[in-house]
Amino acid sequence: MTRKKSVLCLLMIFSLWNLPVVTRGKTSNITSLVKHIDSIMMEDNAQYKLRMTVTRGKKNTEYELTLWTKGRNFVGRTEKPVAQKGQVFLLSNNNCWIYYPSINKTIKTSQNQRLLGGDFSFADLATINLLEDYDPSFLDLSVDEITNLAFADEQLIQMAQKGKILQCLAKEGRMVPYPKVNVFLDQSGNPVRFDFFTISGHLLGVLLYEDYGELRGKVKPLTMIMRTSLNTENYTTVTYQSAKYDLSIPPIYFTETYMRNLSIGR
Amino acid sequence: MWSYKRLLLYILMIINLLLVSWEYCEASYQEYGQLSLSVKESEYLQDTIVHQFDNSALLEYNLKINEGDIIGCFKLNAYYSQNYDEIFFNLARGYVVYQNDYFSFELGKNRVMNGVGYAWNPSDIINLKKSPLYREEEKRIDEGVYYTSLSYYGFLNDLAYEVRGIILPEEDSLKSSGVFSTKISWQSLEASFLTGLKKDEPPVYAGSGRFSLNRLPLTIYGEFRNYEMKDDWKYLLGLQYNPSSTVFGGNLQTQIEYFRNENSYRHRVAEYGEYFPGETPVLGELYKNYAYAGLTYYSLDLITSFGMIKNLDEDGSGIINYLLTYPLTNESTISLGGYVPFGRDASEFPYLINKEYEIYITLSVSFGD
Repeated sequence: MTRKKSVLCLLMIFSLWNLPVVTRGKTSNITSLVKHIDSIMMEDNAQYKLRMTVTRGKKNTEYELTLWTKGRNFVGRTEKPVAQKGQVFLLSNNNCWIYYPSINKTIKTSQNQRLLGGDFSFADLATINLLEDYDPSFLDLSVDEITNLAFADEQLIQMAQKGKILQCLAKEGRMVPYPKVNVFLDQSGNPVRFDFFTISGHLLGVLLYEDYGELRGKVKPLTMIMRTSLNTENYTTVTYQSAKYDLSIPPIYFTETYMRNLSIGR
Repeated sequence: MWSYKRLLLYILMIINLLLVSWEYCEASYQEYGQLSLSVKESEYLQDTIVHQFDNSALLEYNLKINEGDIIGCFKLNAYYSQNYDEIFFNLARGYVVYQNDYFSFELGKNRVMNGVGYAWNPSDIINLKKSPLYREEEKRIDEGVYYTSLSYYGFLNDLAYEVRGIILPEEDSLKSSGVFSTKISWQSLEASFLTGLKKDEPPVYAGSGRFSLNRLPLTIYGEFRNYEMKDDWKYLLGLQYNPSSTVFGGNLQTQIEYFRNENSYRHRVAEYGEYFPGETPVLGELYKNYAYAGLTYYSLDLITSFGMIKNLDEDGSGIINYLLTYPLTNESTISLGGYVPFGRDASEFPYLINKEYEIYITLSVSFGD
């Protein structure tokens, strides 16, 4: 009897000893995954040249932009089309402005407003930080549940079976554009799809990361597709043209007062 | 003097062009512009002229030269109006900038705007007489002022600031003026304070502020202007709403503004004429209390803006303006717009005096890179 008790005690001690290790291991696994996702989404102190194509049925509208990022702030300048040349978009500390060169004036806007009439909002391009603002956990979805997702295809089902799905819920008190984000990861842990939801579970948008490849020495999704409508013919595609990392971008770039300077140069 | 200033600007532009074409120069340049063709129809209140059509064409040519931190920006306009049967050439902008991370030096002619309001900008002490409804066609296509300015940008912890000195030269040096401005930006708050100085005149003080709420898509803003030792206050209060809508698939923005002008020329055009001979009053100069409501909707399929300005005094007159723009291709748009004055007296809308309404259609094509 005593021996049985001793064995039981040993087993309990062994279980307790192992439990935190397992939990710690799982947590650190999620944390490292989330860190990896955040690093892929946007680099700190970087400059990008990108092309944005807004598709509405058969009509495509193309823009070329220069984008500077620093932390969770970004500033962008429209290079093309000519009619919108020199327009500057700034997101700084959750505040957004648009500078119009024709009137030499800035207009305040909100971060949920769409950029250039497309599907990306100001917030989508820079401010989503899963590690700081969300509590992530692994999510198990059945094949049926995945099939019922918006824009789900065979590729997504296969990928979800082989990869992982993270459910990220906004931390209490955090002001975030999307209270719930589901992230689909491929086998190598790279994010391939983000589903953005309201607090009540209403789908707000689907962001796809495609064409993983090298962008100036770093593995990045070279194409991002944002859908905010269930209409399959309406979406916005962002394609990276070039990037520069580890720059020391002056903080003044991310202020409203400097927008007119960025409109013409730098 | 005006022609002398213009001549200097043209010389500045030619020097820029020569520098760019110099063999060893690594400067880059861009040329782009827009051609707009308009058909305008006005209905008059008089019996003699009931309808009038005016076809016009506006060619805007922009040249931008970049040589490192030195940038030259030039914009030339050529405007033809069938009614005036004349082509107006105009150097709308022409300025050279040297800028780095801390300083910006500008010289030439450009719009130097201050203020955060949509219908009025009382804090804009540099462009006192601005209105889209000028009677004179030449003034309507003219932009900006001749100026030179030096800005310094810096930070105090999280507070970003700009300190700027501007000189506005005139032929008669006594009429030249200077403006000193400071602008701060901290989190959701922006504020600016300006002092305008002119010889033998009391200083003019002006300022503006804008603050956005964190939880709601609302922005509160305001502006003021006051001459020292004068009971001449002008101020504006406004509220902007930027809802996030998943229904329309575009951006919606609305504003309401209240404008008060303490020095309102006692509601008489004649009195205004005594102060400013040969000039016509612009919106907000004749009466004391005004209101504005505006709505803008921006999507790829349609850009719509609608605004209504109304004076809240006894006269009660006002104006409605609307503009619908439909993008045809990446580089071309077609627009339908117009003005409808209403109320008893349209004397403060000089462009629309004796008109029932004005409507126009414009086809715009952009070119260049």
